[in-house]
Amino acid sequence: MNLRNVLIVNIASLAVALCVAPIHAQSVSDDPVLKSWTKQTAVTACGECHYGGSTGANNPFAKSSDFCRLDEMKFWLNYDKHAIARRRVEPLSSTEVRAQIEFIVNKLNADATQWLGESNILSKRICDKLGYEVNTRDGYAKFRDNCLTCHGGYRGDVNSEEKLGFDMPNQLDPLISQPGISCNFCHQEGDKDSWIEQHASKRAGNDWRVKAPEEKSAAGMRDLVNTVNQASLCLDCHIGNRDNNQFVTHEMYAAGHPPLPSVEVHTFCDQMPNHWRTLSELHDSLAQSDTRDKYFAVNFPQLLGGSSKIDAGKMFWNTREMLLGAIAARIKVTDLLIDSATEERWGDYALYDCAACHHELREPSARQLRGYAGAPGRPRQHEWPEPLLNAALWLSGLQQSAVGYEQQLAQEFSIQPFGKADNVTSLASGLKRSLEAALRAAEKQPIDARKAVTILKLLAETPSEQLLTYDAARQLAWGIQTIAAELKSEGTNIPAAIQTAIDSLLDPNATGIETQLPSGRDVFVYPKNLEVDLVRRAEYDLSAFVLRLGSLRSLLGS
Amino acid sequence: MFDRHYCRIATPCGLLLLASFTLMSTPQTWAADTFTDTKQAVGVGSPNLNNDHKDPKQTPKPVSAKDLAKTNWEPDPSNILRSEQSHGNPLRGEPHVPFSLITPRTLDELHSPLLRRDLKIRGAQSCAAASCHGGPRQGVATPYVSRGNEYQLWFENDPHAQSWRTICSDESVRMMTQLKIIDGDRIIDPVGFDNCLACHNTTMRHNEPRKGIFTHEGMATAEGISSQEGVGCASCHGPSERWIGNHFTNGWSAQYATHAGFVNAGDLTTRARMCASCHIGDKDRDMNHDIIAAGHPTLRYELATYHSWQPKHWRDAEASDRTYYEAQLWLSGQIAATDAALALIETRAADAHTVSQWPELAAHDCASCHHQLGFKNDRNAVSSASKSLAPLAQWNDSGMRWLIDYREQTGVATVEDARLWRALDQVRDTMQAQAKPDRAQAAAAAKTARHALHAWLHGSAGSFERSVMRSDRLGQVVVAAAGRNETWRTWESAVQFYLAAVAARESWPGGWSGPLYDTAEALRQGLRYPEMRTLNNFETADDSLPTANRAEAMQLGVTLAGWLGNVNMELQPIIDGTTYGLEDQELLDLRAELNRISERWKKKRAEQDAKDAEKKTDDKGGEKKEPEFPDRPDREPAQPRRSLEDLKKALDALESDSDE
Repeated sequence: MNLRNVLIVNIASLAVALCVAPIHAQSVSDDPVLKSWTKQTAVTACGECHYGGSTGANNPFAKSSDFCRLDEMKFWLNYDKHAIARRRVEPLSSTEVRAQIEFIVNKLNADATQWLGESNILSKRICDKLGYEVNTRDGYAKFRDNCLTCHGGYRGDVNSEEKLGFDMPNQLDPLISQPGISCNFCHQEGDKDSWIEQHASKRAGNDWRVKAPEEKSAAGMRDLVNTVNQASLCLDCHIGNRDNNQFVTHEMYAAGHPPLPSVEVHTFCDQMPNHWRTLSELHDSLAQSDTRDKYFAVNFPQLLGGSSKIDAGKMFWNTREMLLGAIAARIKVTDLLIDSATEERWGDYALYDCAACHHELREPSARQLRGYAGAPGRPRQHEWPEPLLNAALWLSGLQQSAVGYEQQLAQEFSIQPFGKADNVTSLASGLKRSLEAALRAAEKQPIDARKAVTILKLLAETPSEQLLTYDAARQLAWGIQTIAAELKSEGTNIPAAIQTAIDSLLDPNATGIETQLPSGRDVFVYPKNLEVDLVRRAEYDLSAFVLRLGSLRSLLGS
Repeated sequence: MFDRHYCRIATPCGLLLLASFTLMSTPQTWAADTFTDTKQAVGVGSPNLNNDHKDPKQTPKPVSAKDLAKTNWEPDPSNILRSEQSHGNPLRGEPHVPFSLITPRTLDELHSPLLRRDLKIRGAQSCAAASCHGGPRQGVATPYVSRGNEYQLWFENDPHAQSWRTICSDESVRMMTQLKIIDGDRIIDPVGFDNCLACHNTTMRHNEPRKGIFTHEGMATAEGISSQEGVGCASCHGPSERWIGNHFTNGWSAQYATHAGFVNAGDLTTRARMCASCHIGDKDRDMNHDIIAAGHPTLRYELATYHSWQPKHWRDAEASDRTYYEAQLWLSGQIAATDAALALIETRAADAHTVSQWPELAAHDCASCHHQLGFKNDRNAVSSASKSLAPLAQWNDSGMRWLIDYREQTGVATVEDARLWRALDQVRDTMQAQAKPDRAQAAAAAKTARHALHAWLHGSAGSFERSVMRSDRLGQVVVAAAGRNETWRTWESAVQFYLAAVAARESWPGGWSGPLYDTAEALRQGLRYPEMRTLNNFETADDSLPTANRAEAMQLGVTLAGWLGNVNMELQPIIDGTTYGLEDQELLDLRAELNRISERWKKKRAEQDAKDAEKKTDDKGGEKKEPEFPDRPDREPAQPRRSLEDLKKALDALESDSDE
């Protein structure tokens, strides 16, 4: 049975389920997001099992949720703004926003305040500045091809354009088009959909759960248990992937797109909020299951299998995610350099660190005080990956090659402003190979409490030269926050003085670094959060952060 | 060797005492490698467009004390110009002239002596004889002849004389360390060091390309030490080899001495171009983005302003004609700045600078990148054409554009204006087309624009403006500029507007302290660098006052110009109902101000018409109203020239006093 048949069969049962469950009934009447998603057949099929667990009539795991939370969609639709990523940026004038709000209120008797807002007007302004005439079919296609690849989960699937409203927005009825990132955008690879039937099969002896990731992938299910795969998927949008046309150009930024923040994969997942069980949580929830060991062994054969270096229950999965994510992020940035080495793409300012240019000219200058490894005044690469990357490379034990390439690459950007495309591509390719090797090595490295503390010390020893930008400092803060939280959750006693030092380091009022992301479906990035964020960036003074980091370093050292 | 501790006390008084110190020396291999290892000799005529960046392997070797000990101070003349071409024609008895940095049919011809390498450089002390320019102090000087004390005035008052100390300051040492020019007391990048010396010192560079090397045979001598004189006589007046012996004779004329190496600084345009050589840059000196990033202040050249600050050791014949003088300084400065900036683009694009990079970020508007990411972005409206790339700096060509625009509005524009405008547009468009502009196109466009500017200056347009530009005409240029949205696009352009308005202050109604003063002062305060502690050697800015945003600067500028003439401004909505980032209320305020200005000038015109009619009919009846518009200021009566008789009387009185 293909996906479409599955969906058609399941729509009726979902409708019943929605009526039966009190929470659903309330949500449908109040929430245009849910109402809208129920019109997307691919998603309603998922909701059959994953919205509320035991309510689905066809839910084979209704009473055994030790493996799967079964309320993933509840989190996704109710709390995660990915679910309305497109709706938030649908380019609308203020008049159109008003008309849509009235439409939703009058027709659906629903509250649209989380759905539409000033971000839509900003999006329209950006499109106007970029020359996208979004009220025409061709103009909207430009918006779709350049913006909805991230904001709408658009993959260039021409067959589904009209169905998902990708060909042209329906200005009056917003419920027709897909509101944001769908389940399959992340969970399915390409067009292969046999996994849908397989993973939900009630057939006796269905051992889908413990199948090897390769088998699941062959059936079309993306292996997101693999941290590297998961990070790469997130970073396609949160850093960029030019092959998929997922790249915020400097022109887009200049037109008004908010700056893409630096990414620490674990923190971003944690604050989405994640709708899945983390590996640590899964290990606990499967405590009574006889498939637990096999599940972990099959998914992490090199880490846990064979001579089993570490017990999965003692593994610091979140710290591992943070460190693997750091290498994956650097690879993604490197990919952008490689993929930009064409005449029309080269030299896009977005490839370089925003703060390298976008800072007020001050006297004394923090950059001049730091000094220049090469020539002064050359736009640098993004600086934010560096603090966590150092620790991740240390974990891999293969830092030498990557560090060598990093230095050569930095030198290349120093020889000539923006670097020379051919030389940068060559060096970036070498760096990517080194990083991929380091990533493979790091994946095999167990992290227990002792090693986590070592990594914490390593992070605390980050030299102030690497913390010149707000994003770099925040990246380090997130890394420390992740390790400290996991030490705590895994039962390691953190001395009070150290905990106080960490709390102080993570206190935005003390350091100016805000570690909380504007996540959640009810939170708009624009305008309020962006305004606050930009002020924080502008006023960032590394001395406050470095001072507290120094205190933590001393305590950890002693 | 670079010993800054010595430099800090190397005042001329201590020269002899400190003669044993060695400041910097020529490396052993200088003569052989100077031009082959660097691109100094490449010149604009032989652009190296395929070489995108310098090969670090070609960096000259560090010069150590050991090298210095071996230094052969006698250069080998056969090596000096080895890779240069001889332009001199021996058959006509012309001397050997090395490959020229001078581009024909450009304003290089004005300050060409500074670009020549075939003439001997002499130190300032060669001019300082008591009977020449080192005469008695001011106050005793005779007022109607050459002062004769220029050296003293320069030496004691002029910051240029302190330029060597500047380069030895802690800040400069830090910069040169950042730039890898020096490492401790070693000069590790002689080419970079020479780029600094090209502006900060007259007489000696590390790899001295000029003939002057023959006169300075070493640094460890009193004579050698005198070669750290800062910006001395020859920096501005040219190498004196061929005119020092005759420039005081009756038959000698500064106007015709350029070929002999004399810069005719008495001509304001020549002076302006000469100053721009350092204050913007030239073919052998480039204050680029690297140096700015290392800490060097950005260059902001505007001649009329600089001129008012400069302690002068000369007298200008035009100075007594105040409505003419500052306006002409402004005009000359704008012409020179435009040319110098174009020359830099041309040379950088052709990779002909020793320290050039491409793209050169210093060619662009600083604030287009260097600003915090603001929530409300008042910068350029992004369009499909602009690609949000850094715009070319407006600092150096705004004035010429305003002038041409005004000439067009008043119907006196010629084909030379049109050609120059088009050529400037071509340069701008090329430089803004991509993050790394096409080198060949940029060099060609800049060269074309330089030729166009040369034609403009020597054609009817330039001749006309150089004769008629006075403060009232400049005031009208300012009025026209105030009405252009482009004027308010960047901070650079807005500041140039303010400086132009000040250069026209002789035409301000009510005088300098009239109704315009407060507006002008508010604009000045509003446009100053925010959080700037030390503005320059002269002034420390008060950072407690707020700076102006674009709307406020525009409002103040329009108000200022409104006292000089009727400002015509088309407030066309650009995007989404906004006009260059103006909020609704700001737009309303601006419209109201424009209406007030319009009414004021209508009224003034009516009053003028009435006065004219009154004169015609000779009707003296009726009540006269006090005009609301302030009259032009009464000029201070020119000091009556004292006759010879008066002077004699004064001298007699002085002598009788002393007898008593």
